This record gives sequence, C-alpha cells and structure tokens, in this order.
Amino acid sequence: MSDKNLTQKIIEKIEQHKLKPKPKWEFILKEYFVWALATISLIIGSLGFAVVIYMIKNNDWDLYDRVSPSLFSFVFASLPYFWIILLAIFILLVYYIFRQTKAGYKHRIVLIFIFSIVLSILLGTIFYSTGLGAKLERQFDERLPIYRRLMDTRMRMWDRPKDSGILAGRILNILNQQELNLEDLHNRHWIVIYNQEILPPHMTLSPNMRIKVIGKEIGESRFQAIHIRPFMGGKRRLLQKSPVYVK
Amino acid sequence: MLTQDKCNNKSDEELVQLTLKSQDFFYCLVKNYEAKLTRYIRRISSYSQEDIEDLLQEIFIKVYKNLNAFDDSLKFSSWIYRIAHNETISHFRKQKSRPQTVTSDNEDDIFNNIASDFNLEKETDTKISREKISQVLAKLDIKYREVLVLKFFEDKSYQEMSDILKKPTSTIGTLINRAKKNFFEKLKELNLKI
Repeated sequence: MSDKNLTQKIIEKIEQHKLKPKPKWEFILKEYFVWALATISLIIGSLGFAVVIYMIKNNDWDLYDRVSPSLFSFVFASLPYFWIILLAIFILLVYYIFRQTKAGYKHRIVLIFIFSIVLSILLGTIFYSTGLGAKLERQFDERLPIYRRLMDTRMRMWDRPKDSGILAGRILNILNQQELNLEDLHNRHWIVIYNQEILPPHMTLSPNMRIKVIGKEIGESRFQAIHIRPFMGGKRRLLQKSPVYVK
Repeated sequence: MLTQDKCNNKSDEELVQLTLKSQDFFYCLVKNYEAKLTRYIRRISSYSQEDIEDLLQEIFIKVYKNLNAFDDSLKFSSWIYRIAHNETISHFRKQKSRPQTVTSDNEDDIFNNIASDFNLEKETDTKISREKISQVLAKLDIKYREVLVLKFFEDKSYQEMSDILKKPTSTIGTLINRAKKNFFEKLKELNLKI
C-alpha cells in the first residue's frame, strides 16, 4: 500500500464530495436528547414505583387471612405485577439510555442499575407522598379497559362471599338507606343489607362506586354487611371521584 | 495539500482544531494514524491489504465528518481507535470471517511480552513459538482478541482501552483475565501441551 496514495484518496474524496464536519450543535443536541430520554424514563419508572407503594399500602392487609392460606401466598397473589413490570422496564431503559450518553460507558453496569433503582425509589416516594401514585392508578382504572380487566382479575381473590365473607364489586343502585344492589367481580347480582354506621368516615355510597363488603351471605343473593370499604385505597381515595366501572 | 513540515510539533488535539478551520490539516491526522490503524485493523481482522485500505478510507471519512464530536476529555488516539474498532468490528461481523492468524511484522518483542506476561514458558515448560501464539490469538473470540491486541500490540493503558472499547476499566480488567484463560484453553485445544 502506498501511504501517499491512501492519504491522497481520502483528501480527494473529501474534496470531491464536498464533505464537511457535521456542526457541533448536532452532537450537543443529540446528547441533550439522550439525557432527556433518560430523565423521562426515570420519571415514568418512578411514577410506576409510586403506584406500587400506593397499591401495596392499600392492600387490606388486615383481611389477608380471610382470602389466603398464608401471608406469603397473599403477598404473591396481590402484588401489583403490572406496575412492578412497568417499573422494571423503565429501570432497564434508564440503564440502556444512560449507557448511550458520552460518559455512560465509564460506569459499572451494577452501579448504573443501583443508581437508577435508588433514584426511582426516591422520586417514586416523593410522587407517592404528593398523591400522584393514587391519581395515576385511578386514571388507568378509568381510561384503560385492559388495565381495568387486569386489575379485576387480580382483585377477584377478594370476591369470595361464601368462604371468606367478602364481597367485591360495584354498586348498581342504592335501593334505600339500608339496601343496595351490587354486581360482584364474577358478574353476579346481590342485595347488600347495611346501615350508615358501618361506613367509614367520609365515605358516601353512590352508583358505580366499587366497594368491598365484609359480612356474611344470609340467603339467595343476599349479603349482610358488617363493614364496607372502598374497593382499593384509603381516605385519599374516598375523597376523590370514585372510579366508574364500565362494562 | 500540506507538507509534512506543517504537521510537525503539533498535538493531535491542535490538529483537530486546525482541521476544523482548514480542511488541509486533516492530511496531518491521516498521516499520523494511517500506519497505526492499518496495523491495528490487520491485527484484529487479518483483512487483506486492499480491504484494509477500503476500510481505512471509510474510517477517516467518518473521523472527518465527526470531528466536532471529539470530546477533548479523551485522548484523540483513543477516539480515533474507537472509530476504527467500531468500523472494523461492524465490517468483520458483516463478513462473518475469522482470521487464521494474527499477523504482524517484526514484532518478536511483542510476542515475547505475551509469552512472558502469560508465564507461557513456565506454564508450558516449553518455548512457545510466535506462530503458535498467533494461531491461538486468531482462534480467540473477538472480544478477547481485541483486548489482548490493544494491551500487547498497541500498548494501550486500561483507561485508553476503556475509552476505545467503551467499557468500564473494571470490565477491561475482567476481559483481560478471561482472555488469558481462553488463551490457555485454546492453546490446549491446539495440542500444545501445557
């Protein structure tokens, strides 16, 4: 190979094709874009974590022994897998995108993972404390039928009136101050007998509201309530608009 | 075109800045790295001279077009080796070829360094020829061969290797250790009794 020839060929090619170095702003913009993507992924993952906290915290732990043989099987059955998978996907994305930044390769894989997990937990906890976790879960529940079906499948373990004394579903209509019509998660219709004293403070029953009723079956499609609580969520949920259950 | 005199006593980083102002200075950068990159590509790929020349053209054109992406927190040599490495590996994968030997010219010292660093003579109780080392290197997976080539043939530091291969320095250390292990395994496969 003649060195001179190769050098000449390269210079000639540059001149012939009028090649120019790409402007610096293109590279700066690309780097900003990558960082923006990483930040967005981190925020979405953190929102997922906020919902995970919200759902775990409002999991009716006091009733687990009614629906599950052990705490372990209850945890296994009631974990919010949808949100955990979403969180995992976005932690992976943060890792992958961070690796595309200029200095991303310099850091150890484990450290990047730990860093993105810790950041997601911190941000997610902040989001949860501002109520974003609950809001986001409610938006998904109201607007995404697929999500609602997924959640209903998960919540069906609560709908066991015979053996656990828990009925879960949505209010079809309020018949009077002591009776309401309810459609459970297995699409069976019930008349629930209750009184206002068993409702938690701030809770007002209304059609389409989803609830859990603790009590016992007292006849064909009749259920005596000793306690009523929102389908999911504590006081915060009660103060918000109730989810609408659309078939 | 510039003469070699204009290139003398200028660092690569200065030449990058000068090239951005005047294309003519790119001649100096090509001159500075043409031979080095030719050897490097040959060592990791065993391409023919013609293929290497084509590849070098692509590499230098890419370097020229991306000069503004050069991050001066790196050595220019690390940056240009990174581009050469990426282009070669990409080409190499497209062709799915594997070199038969790792070629080299008058580099007995390097092979002696490998033999000495790997404790080959002590481990094998026999003198391993340069040809056999070449054969074993050629049989290694590309990810192992490239770290050994960068360490022993190109004399790059861990930091430079990290910048060239875009891997953390700790991973480079691990890769070198694994490469050594693989080297001995391939040596056994070649029936070079250890």
